[in-house]
Order: sequence, then structure tokens, then C-alpha cells
Amino acid sequence: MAEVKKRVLIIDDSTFTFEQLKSLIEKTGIAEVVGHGKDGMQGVKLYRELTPDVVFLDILMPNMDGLQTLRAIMSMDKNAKVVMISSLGGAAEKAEEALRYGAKAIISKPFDEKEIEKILKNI
Amino acid sequence: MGVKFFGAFLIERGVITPEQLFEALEEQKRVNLKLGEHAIRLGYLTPEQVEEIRKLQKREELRFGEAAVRLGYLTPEQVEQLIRIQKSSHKLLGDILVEKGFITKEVLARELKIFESEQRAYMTEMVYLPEGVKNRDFINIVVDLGKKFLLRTVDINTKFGDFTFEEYVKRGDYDVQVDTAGDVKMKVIFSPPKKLPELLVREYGIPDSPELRKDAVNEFMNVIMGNAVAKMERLGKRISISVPKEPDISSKCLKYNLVSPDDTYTFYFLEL
Repeated sequence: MAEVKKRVLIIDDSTFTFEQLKSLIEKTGIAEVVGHGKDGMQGVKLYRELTPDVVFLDILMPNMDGLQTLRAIMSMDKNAKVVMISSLGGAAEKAEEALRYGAKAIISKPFDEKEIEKILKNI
Repeated sequence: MGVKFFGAFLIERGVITPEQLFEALEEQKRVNLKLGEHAIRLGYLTPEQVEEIRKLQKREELRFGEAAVRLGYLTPEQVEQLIRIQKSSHKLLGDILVEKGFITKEVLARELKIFESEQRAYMTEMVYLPEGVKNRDFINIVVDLGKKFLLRTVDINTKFGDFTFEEYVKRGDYDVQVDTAGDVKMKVIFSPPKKLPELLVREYGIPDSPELRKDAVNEFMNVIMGNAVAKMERLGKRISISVPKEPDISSKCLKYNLVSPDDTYTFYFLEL
């Protein structure tokens, strides 16, 4: 029987980042990307519709930023598994806030394939 | 992996859980007082004065001490004293994790060693900068990260070139600018050859388009600047960055080339 892959939603305003992350996630063989939210509001809507297993969420987005989006998702589903994407080299303050709101992990850009695989396996 | 913070590293390694990190960070926040809190504790400032200082800080992107001196609430000597007190009472995250029993001293020592050796790949190589250039650390960090990420992301090996003062001239559609604020106020432009976006897109087998190529270069610049912010934070400097945008510099600025056998990858820095 084929192993069930984890269903991943990516919320990021950059199409390039989405495609890059999708490529790396699907390369692991343990997950598939089921949706792309281009901003926080669309991301929250897609979370509700798709009920993914894991969300990869960009910290820095225009309008509704990553932390606001995280809070919205966690208030809908306190068991949501959200991984924050940081381009600020994991700058401590934003990371700390994200963890306070319930994020399970933080990954920094540039992405590391092994790091993504480890997170998907352990989350 | 880029420049990262130790707590996130420990979670990735499976040494602590996110909940444990959160608890330790909360403790760190409680124990490591901000300058304003130390000042209240010592009777130098009232909470209302601290609030006023913070408002000025935000409005003009100043550090706490600078804003307090500007408002006449603290002297420069008092600010220095408060900074000394803050530094001497500061607790590191690792020590708090040990105190709380989440990890042992031995595990902390081991993980610190691994963390430092991994982060060494992101240690800054020094470049020669002309006299009179301000924000030397920041400029050095940006060009060094540019070199590292060109190699790491698309396997392009470059050498450090020279600095000149020149007017910015747009090379093509992929030039991108990021503005910084806070302790470093600058406009920074990255001007790559068109080969770079082609390589960035090809690297991940992504469906190609002009918009995606533009986005790829914007993201590349975002990563350089984001990692530069993290490195500057470690030097005690707080910087915020804009989203990548179209260049709007029209004056002379500091120009720097990273040079490969076939191309040049150019940065422009304009101090504000």
C-alpha cells in the first residue's frame, strides 16, 4: 500500500519561493503541495478549505503579515502545524513571536533540502 | 540554511521542543530587562517617560538611548551606565535551557560547538573599503553574502573586485533595490547579468517566465539582505529592510563588483 503523503499548504507572496519550496518538498517523497496562498487572507481561506497537514508560512508579507496569518490559523485550529519561513536569517524577535503563537518550527532562506525533510518527518 | 538563531537550530536538531524554547524565551524576556525597564528600576525614568521615548524611537527610528538623550531625560553617561548594567545581567538562552533542566551543560556545549562550526560557513570575509565610507560592517557583510549565495545557490564562483564612486546606471530588467532603516540607513541595489535569473529558475526545475525570473532575483536579494540583518543584529545593530523594489537612485554612490570569469555582479550603496 502506498504511504500517504503529508498534504502541505504554502503561504508566500513570492511565486518563485513557492515554486522553489514546492520542488524541495515534493523531492522528499513524503509530502505533496496541495495549495498556494499568495497572501495571508487567501492563505487562511485555503487552510479552511483544504485542511492541510502542514503549512509553510512566510513571516514577511504585505497587508496581512505572517504573524497575523499564523494567529488566524491557530485560532481556527489549535492543532495546526505551521512552519514559519524567514528571510531574516532567523532573526530572533520574529521567531520568538511566532513560537509564542504556536508555530512548530522556523526555516531560513536559502532553503536547505535536508532541513525541510527533517521538519516534514518530525512535525 | 543561512544565518540562524541558536534556538531554532536546537529545535531542528531535536534537542528541545518548540514549547521548551518558548518557555525559555519567555524567561529570558522576563530576566533580560530592556534599557527602559532598567532605567525605571533605578529611578532614572518614569513609565510615562519611557513611553514617550519609545514613541520618539519609533517615529524617527532611533535607539532607546539616543531618543532618551534627545528628549533630555537621560544623559549620555546614564545611557552608558544602563548599557553596562544590561550587558552584565544578560542571560544567554543556552544557560536558561540548562537552568530549566531542558538540556544538560554537556549537551549545551556539544550543540554550541556544532552550531558555531555550521555558522562558520557564513563568517564574513573582509573586503577593502575606501576611506570615508560609513557603515563599513554592513557593506562588507552584504557583498560577502552576495558572493557566498552566488556560489551556494547557482554555483557561480566570484572574486572580490574594487569599489568606485559612480552614478548608478540601470543594467537591465533585473536590477533590484532594498532600502534599509534603523541603525543603518541606505539604499542598496543589486544589478546582476541576465544569466542569473535564468540559472535561479533552472536550478529548481521551475516553469520559466519573465515574471518568475524577476521574482527570483528579488528573492535572491531578499535573502542576502535578510541574512545581512541577522548578522548585524549579532553586532548589536538593529536594521529593518523594505521589500525588494524598482531602483530609484539617481546620484553617485558606492559601486562594487563581484567578478566571475564571464560576468560582473554589481552592488550599489547609497548612504542616506
